[in-house]
Amino acid sequence: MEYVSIKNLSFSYKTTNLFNDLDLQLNPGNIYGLLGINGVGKTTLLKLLLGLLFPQKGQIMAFNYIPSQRNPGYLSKVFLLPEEVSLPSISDSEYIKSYATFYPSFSSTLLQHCLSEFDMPRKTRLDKLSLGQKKKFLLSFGIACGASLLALDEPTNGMDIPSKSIFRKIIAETMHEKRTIIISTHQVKDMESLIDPIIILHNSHIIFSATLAQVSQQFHMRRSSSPLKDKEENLIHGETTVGAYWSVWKGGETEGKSINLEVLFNAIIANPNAFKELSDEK
Amino acid sequence: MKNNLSLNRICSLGKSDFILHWKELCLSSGIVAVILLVYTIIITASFLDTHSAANIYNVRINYDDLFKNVLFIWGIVQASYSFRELHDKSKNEQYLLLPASPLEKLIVRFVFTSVVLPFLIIVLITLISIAGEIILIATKSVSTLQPFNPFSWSTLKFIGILIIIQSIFSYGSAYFKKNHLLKTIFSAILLGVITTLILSGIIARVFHLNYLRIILFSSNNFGDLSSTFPYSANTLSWRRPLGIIWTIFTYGVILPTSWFLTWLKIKKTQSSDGI
Repeated sequence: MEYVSIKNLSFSYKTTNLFNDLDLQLNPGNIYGLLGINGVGKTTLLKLLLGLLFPQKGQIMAFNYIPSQRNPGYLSKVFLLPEEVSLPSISDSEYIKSYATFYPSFSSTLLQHCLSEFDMPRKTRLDKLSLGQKKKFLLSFGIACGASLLALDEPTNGMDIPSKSIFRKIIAETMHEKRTIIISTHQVKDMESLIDPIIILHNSHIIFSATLAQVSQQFHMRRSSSPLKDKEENLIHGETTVGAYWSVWKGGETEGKSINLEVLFNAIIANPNAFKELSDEK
Repeated sequence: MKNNLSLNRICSLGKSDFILHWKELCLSSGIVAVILLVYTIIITASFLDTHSAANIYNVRINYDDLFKNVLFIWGIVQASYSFRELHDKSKNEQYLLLPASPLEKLIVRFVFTSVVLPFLIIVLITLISIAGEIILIATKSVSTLQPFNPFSWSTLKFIGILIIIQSIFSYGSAYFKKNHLLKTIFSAILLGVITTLILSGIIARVFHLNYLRIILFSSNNFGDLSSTFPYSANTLSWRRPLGIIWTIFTYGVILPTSWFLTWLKIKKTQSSDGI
């Protein structure tokens, strides 16, 4: 089976050490959520996966290619939607004519479907589009490329509210067992029904990598109107949000309660050791 | 998929470059064409104001020189911007992730700067020379009968020399992050001066110490060099082999080295923006 693997990866910029002996495996058929605080290296990790940056130590293999070699065969299987999108001063049809030929699995039908779902204006100069529209266009193009690895960096930034739900719908619709999607985001609310498994980068390491089902088996969350008065035995984390108090507890619950990703993320960052076992299991 | 060289991908790259840049190219060609046409007409008309039409053959708009000047300026400017995407944060990710090998990306830009551009300028100058003649015939009822000959030996030879110069400027465009043109010119001059000094030193050491003194301190009138430089009598006979060595050096060393270094730079360039 084709997959992406990172072994003992170390990478640093001149003054910032980002990764130390980082290991990660991405399996096809999953939409990974890459989470982490600002500056932890989420974008850098995506760039390393795609071959835009080269590892200083360790190895990355993806679909039997070494990304840093930027082999055309590999590049035709991957697509990056960057956080800051810059498109040339040409029309959408000119863009498609220019770049579609580089991707052997490109589907014009799928592109038209995605563009119409997003209600994108046609025959407009791409550089004149708003940030959200640029992202919608490029995302549609990336999906139509038939990329096996789709890396999306803050994809919903700049998108309006209806577009965010269309985004989720399109991603879910076009997902298939041979495709791997990795989404780096701070907007976890936009992604709650979409991303699974979750990968959390913190202090140069991946401190958490597990599916939400695994989380539910070993932890549960409670929402109450006020903070707990006493420290209780299985309580891992508690935080006050607008109008509610959330707590994270050891021990799974049989009731299928949904997980608040924001609270889970904060709990893992605040108390990584409590979740270490779960990550090690993987 | 063929790893590093596919004609299909080269054609696709050429096509995408054309779609992205044809407007700029048309605009620059139009501006150059208008400037040259106006220049041609002004020169000829000003001659006709002071001379009779019978002397029209004395008008010397040397289209050969015009072609060389235009090709030289446009050629090196174009070459020094040929890989500007590599250092442009808004473009380099898309350029680097474009599914084509560094060799294919290099070939496409090489073909454009060294083949397509000279061809375009040849067409432009030919058309201008013909247009100039037509305007003269229509307005003054005279013809200089001097249209541009694109197939002359000097034209083709100049294109050959320019390919070497362009290869250096193309490397400059891939190597330097900003001000590619100025930095390449400055580096080339610096390198030229250093090489000349080293070679002069070697020649002076090998042949005669006074030779270097002559180069550095004397005027053009060297007088009889035979007393200070015993080998001077043979200088003329050295010119031809030296010329051949220089040609081999430029085409066999400078050109491939520049393109190899450019290829390496495309291959090794990483996305510059950060965390």
